Amino acid sequence: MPIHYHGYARYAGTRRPPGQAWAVIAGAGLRNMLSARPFLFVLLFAWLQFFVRGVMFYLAANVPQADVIAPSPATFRDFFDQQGFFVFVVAVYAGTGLIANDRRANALQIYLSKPLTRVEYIAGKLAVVMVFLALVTWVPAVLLLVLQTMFTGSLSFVREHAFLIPAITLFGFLQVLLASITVLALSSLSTSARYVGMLFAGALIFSEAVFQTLRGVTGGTGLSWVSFSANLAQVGDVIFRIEPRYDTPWGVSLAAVAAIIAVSAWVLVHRVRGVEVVT
Amino acid sequence: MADSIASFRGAALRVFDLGIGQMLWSRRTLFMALVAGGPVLIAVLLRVLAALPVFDGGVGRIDGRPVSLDGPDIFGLMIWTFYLRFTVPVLGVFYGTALIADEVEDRTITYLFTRPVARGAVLAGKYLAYLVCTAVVVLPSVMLVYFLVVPLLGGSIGRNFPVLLLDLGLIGTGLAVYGAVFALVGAWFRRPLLTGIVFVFGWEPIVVVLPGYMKYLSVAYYLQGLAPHAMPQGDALSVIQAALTSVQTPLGTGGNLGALAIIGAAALAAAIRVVGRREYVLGQ
Amino acid sequence: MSYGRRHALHGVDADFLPGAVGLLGPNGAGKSTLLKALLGFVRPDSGRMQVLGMDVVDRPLEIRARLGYMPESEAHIPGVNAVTLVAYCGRLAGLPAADAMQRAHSVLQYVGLGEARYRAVDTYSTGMKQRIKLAQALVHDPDLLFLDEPTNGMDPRGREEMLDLVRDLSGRKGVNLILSSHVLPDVEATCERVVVLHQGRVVAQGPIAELKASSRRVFEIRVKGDVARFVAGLRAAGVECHDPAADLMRVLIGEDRGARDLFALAVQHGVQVRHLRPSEQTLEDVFARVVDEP
Repeated sequence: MPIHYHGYARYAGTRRPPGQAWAVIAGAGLRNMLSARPFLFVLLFAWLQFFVRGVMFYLAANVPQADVIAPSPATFRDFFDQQGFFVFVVAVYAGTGLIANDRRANALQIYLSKPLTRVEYIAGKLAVVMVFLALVTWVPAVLLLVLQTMFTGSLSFVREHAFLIPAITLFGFLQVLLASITVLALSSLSTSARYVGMLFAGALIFSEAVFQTLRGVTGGTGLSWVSFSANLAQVGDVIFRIEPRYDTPWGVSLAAVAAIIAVSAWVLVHRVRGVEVVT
Repeated sequence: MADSIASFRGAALRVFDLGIGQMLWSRRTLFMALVAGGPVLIAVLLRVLAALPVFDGGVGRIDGRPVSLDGPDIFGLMIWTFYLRFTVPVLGVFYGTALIADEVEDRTITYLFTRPVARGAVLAGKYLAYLVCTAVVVLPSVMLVYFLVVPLLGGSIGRNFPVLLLDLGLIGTGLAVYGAVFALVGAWFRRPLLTGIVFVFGWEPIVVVLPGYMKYLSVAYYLQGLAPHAMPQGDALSVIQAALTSVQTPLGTGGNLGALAIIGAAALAAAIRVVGRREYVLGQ
Repeated sequence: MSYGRRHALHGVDADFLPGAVGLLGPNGAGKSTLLKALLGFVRPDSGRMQVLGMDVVDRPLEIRARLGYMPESEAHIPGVNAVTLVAYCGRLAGLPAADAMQRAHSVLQYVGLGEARYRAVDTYSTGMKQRIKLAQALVHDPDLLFLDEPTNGMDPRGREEMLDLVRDLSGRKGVNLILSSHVLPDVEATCERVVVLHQGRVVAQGPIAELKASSRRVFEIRVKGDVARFVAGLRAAGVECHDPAADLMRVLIGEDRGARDLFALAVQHGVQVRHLRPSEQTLEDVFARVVDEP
């Protein structure tokens, strides 16, 4: 019996209007990553600092002798700093293959032959990395603030430092967006996730090495704008209202961060195409 | 026994012949050129900067303290920041993990493994190619940096030449040992790059500052012990590391070299064994 | 239409009417580029294109919602099994999750992958990958299908099954399709109409039957002797020769001439005629003629 006698029926159901495909892409990407057990271990490990700080908050709230470890706005700033390594690891794990693997499998022409735009595709992929990065930065930071309030049984800390919630949100967003869009832009440049991972690591560490050399030579930190991480750290200090750690004006650091995001967005829009153009 | 060793060596050299050309003309050459060319560009930039007042007559400031900084000091700083902490581990991770993983990813490992060549010899040959390829690119970069930077602010090229030789040996050793370790990682793990990155940029920086024996479970500790330059004091980690290492008993040059030789040889032998026994599923 | 400085298509003026239309042309003729342009992947430098009555540049999403595309190159979503891939494509095309999954199963059954639908697509053979590409193009029930070289890499049986599916889709299921191929028998077996592209230009279009109907008479001929000289002599006498290097050469001569003229030309050029039989004009003859003409 010919195969097609198994039947093909026309579809008479409903169709979602265009504009929501990014959510489908994001959902599939999230499920795909969460089904990888090693990745779950990475996520769990990334929450280690949260648990340690939670214990410290409890002790500070309940043991008078532990006053020295009482939280302050700088505690939350330090928390983000120390999560930096996990931001890097999660970005490499979850982000490097997102577009590179699609390009390797020629999947872009399948995606883009459906009723979705390139921007929707990019947004869907970006959402995957951003959600996971927020899960190791913004979410635990907000929960720490909640824990602090619950352990002390008072809202006085939150009231005294009312800027903390927007600061955590703003810096968390900036950190997550910068890492996500950079790794995704690099992912669109190659068909090998490993190559992308190395490019990402290389760019971060090389820029830091340049900064450390210039710092050693000049004896100052006025050239911190050459480093990806130093720029973010400088802007973070300003957002958390603590003394900026480098001599570079924070506006310059912010401009550098904005430039990286803009360049990455440009790369993404130009690299995500349904057809390879070789000239 | 002698026959099988000779056959293994012959096979490894044939793979080396094939691998060196592939490696030098692959897309990775661009990455390696950036990695090795970056410090040279910075050195050129420093030569330009030297004409400006930022050097303050040969006296700079590090963390607020006035420090005498001449050409050899800057060269030492660059050896630490660019080569020991960046180029050597990054190239080790990138190339070492790719020796087998690339062939699996490109589905070309079948062609290699169906030749009348011991599987281990494939890895050994490719490892040799990696070593020659990286040494040929990185060591000239170190020499260029030396000749550009050391004469700055009164430094003497001749007087510091033995230091350059030590640095070249140190970087060559680092490439060999990291390459062997990550060849093993590449042969063993499904996500070798991530494992390598976590080891180099997560594990090593932490364990080398921990008291006790943890630091012995790294390559960086032994390699840094051989560096003829003072450790830079830029970031918090360096300060902690300098403070802790000053109260620790160093292994000495012989001990560090011995440890590196053992790590490199053991990792390479283990990698050859893993490649010889493992079934590779041609991946996505 | 150009890639950088290279013009891939120019001056294309063609209508693809409802039903099954073949897009014919040798490799590099611009067939895939034309399909990609109709999908909105590449923008034309000048001119306008309409699909299903909608402008490609102005309403690409509406067009793609009603269109299925089976690309020529190997293409799939990495790291998933067939049913997940096809359901995912259905959802991308706007189907609710439950409907997409239901249709994924039924479409996979239809294209002959029912037994293999839980296998990772990365492990599929070339023929199976062709089928999964068709399945993902069909899952959202398009009104128009673009099939780019659908039988590439398939074994003879698989090829027949794929052509069966194409015939069934256009004949019984009411799906319009454009089948791009350089394999003439595939087009002849599935399509009623054809558009022939050569070097980025449309060189012929219309119903296959009309294109094949010609005022010329066709013969199959085998000769012994200096074949090259004979062919040159035929061409000089205004006779069309196809496949001169093949064992049986096909020649097309005017209606007012016949076998006698061919014998005369053979004698004139010193070759012996070992086989001569009247034949019918095929799509291959039409193709050879329009592609050879400057």
